[in-house]
Amino acid sequence: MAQLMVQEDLDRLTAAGVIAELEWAALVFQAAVLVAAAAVDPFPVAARWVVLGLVLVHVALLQVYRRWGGPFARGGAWLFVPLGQSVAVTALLAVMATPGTFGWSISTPGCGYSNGFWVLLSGYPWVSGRLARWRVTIELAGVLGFAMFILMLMWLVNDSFEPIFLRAAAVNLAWILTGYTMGKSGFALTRRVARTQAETQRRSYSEFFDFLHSHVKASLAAIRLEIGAGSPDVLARVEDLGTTVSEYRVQLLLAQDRVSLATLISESVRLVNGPLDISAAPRVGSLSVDRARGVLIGRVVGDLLKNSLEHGATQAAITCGLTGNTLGLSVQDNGPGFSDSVFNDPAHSLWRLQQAARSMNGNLELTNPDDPSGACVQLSLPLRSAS
Amino acid sequence: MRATVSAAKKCELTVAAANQATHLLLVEDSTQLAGAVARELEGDFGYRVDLARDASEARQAMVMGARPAVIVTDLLFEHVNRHFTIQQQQSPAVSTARNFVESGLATIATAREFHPQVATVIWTSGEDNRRLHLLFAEQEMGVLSFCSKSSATGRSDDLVKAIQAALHARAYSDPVLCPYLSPPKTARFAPRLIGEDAKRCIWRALARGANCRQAVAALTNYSDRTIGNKIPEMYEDLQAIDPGLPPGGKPFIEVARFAATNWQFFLDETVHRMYP
Repeated sequence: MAQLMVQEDLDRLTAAGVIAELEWAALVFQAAVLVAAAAVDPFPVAARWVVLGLVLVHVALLQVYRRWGGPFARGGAWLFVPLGQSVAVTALLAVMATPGTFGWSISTPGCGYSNGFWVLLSGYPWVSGRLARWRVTIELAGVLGFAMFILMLMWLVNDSFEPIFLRAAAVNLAWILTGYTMGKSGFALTRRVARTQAETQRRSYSEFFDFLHSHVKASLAAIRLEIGAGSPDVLARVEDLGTTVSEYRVQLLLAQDRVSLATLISESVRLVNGPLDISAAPRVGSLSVDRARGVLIGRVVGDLLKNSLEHGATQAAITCGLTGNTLGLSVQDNGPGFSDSVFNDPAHSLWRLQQAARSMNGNLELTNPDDPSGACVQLSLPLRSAS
Repeated sequence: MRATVSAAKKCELTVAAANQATHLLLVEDSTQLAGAVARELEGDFGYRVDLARDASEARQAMVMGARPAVIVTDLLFEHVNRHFTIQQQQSPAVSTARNFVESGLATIATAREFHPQVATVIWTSGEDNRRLHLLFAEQEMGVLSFCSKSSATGRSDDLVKAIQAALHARAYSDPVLCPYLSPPKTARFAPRLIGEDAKRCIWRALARGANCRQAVAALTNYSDRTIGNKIPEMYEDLQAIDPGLPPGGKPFIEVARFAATNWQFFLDETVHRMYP
């Protein structure tokens, strides 16, 4: 059965990765356009040197972009840097062109310089929400606006408006649209490749999860029944194999974006049920948590139950409840209890788990320190971050 | 240790004596596991056990005159799901009654049609894609007894406890399956999720693999606009039954992901019969 392929996060990461790789290449393209303009377009001699100087600036920027990333990769207001660059360089080329040449032929000096910007804009990844719906309209309005800007430059530098300027501006518009369309196609292609890869991986995970359930677990349960209590060594090895399979299933479970709390608790219980008598397990129904919280809850329940077993407890009870947005989960056992000083020891796993809980605005604490009749550890964790 | 074994054996013998006449139908697709469990239930606990691989075989057994006192059924049958998936891949757009898949819920519904007083036990490993089935069985079909295949002792004694509970109309769930059941005082999820015609159709279209509004529209005959209006409502329904979902998320993505994970539930034949 087909699983969901589309993931905005995957699309965004893919586009951001492509932009990081392409941004410096766009600078190379712009430098090449400037070299061509200096060589063949009608500029006075001094202006040609200025254009070649611009080429050197682009080469220098190339190193900066490759090393620290360009403005597109940074996102946000940085987007105005390459836009301003395209506007400024195009205007400079118009002003420096030999009087009476800019706009008088369909080959405008520096024509195509801004294409690099439009290619990258077509895949700009940091657009979301309502803006995303209007994205293509806004971008096409931008393309049209830039063509109008070139037309206005022709009017301004020539002090008059001639019909031929319309043809020259239309040719510029065609080039910009070509760059924009090619960019859109290229980004769509990379997104499709990434989605296909993600889907293949997800399907493979799902198939393997089902395989572990339908074949391995069922077969192990059958083998355990067939062996019976007569062969304790073989039975112990089968139990080890069962534990390994369960642990792997938890790993697969935690590879998902959202984790079912029921499955997480159930798998943790499955690992210790038997040697440890789980006298109470919570009913959590459909509640799910995100991956980060799932990892923490899985480790807390798993570690506490294993610790109970290792320290001689024979019985444990798990409770879980939701108060508003906060999940409260506790594990209580009948072992020898322990001191809450373990939460001050960075070498202890409970200290690390407490730090992890606190980093998510939650807490992990021992509610009955030094109680010789057993320990009760409580995790409180907001289901969502405050933001 | 010897005293414990002796007490356990005595308990087994007592249960076996009480179970002399109890006829049990075990519906499980893994014949290896079903065979081993049946031998133990018969040899150690005195039940009379018949086996069926899926709901269809269980129905056949009852048509032939089987009158089990207890039905113990797995939830999802791998060979049935595999056959259904292949069929769907060949003709994904066809939406007919035979395009629903039979699960353990069908076993229970069929058994109750033949023998309304039959006791029922759901016997499953518990998985992400079975949680809605478990909730549906508990909330909509009144199943009281749930037992995981991961017995604490490696033997069938937990299953025997579940069978005894079912026979005496008592609630029972072992700690591995208990987390999947609904907390006390929880509202039924099915009326909220699939109670409304349009939403039910959209859920089923998404479960069939439609991954954009246009594809859902093509499968449901609802307009693109109606689907656009319903999807945020469906996400709110999901948030009502799963408070862990983030508010203001991406409704279509979340709803489609939920449908893909739980496609066996949305395309379940028994769920379809109760929510047509």
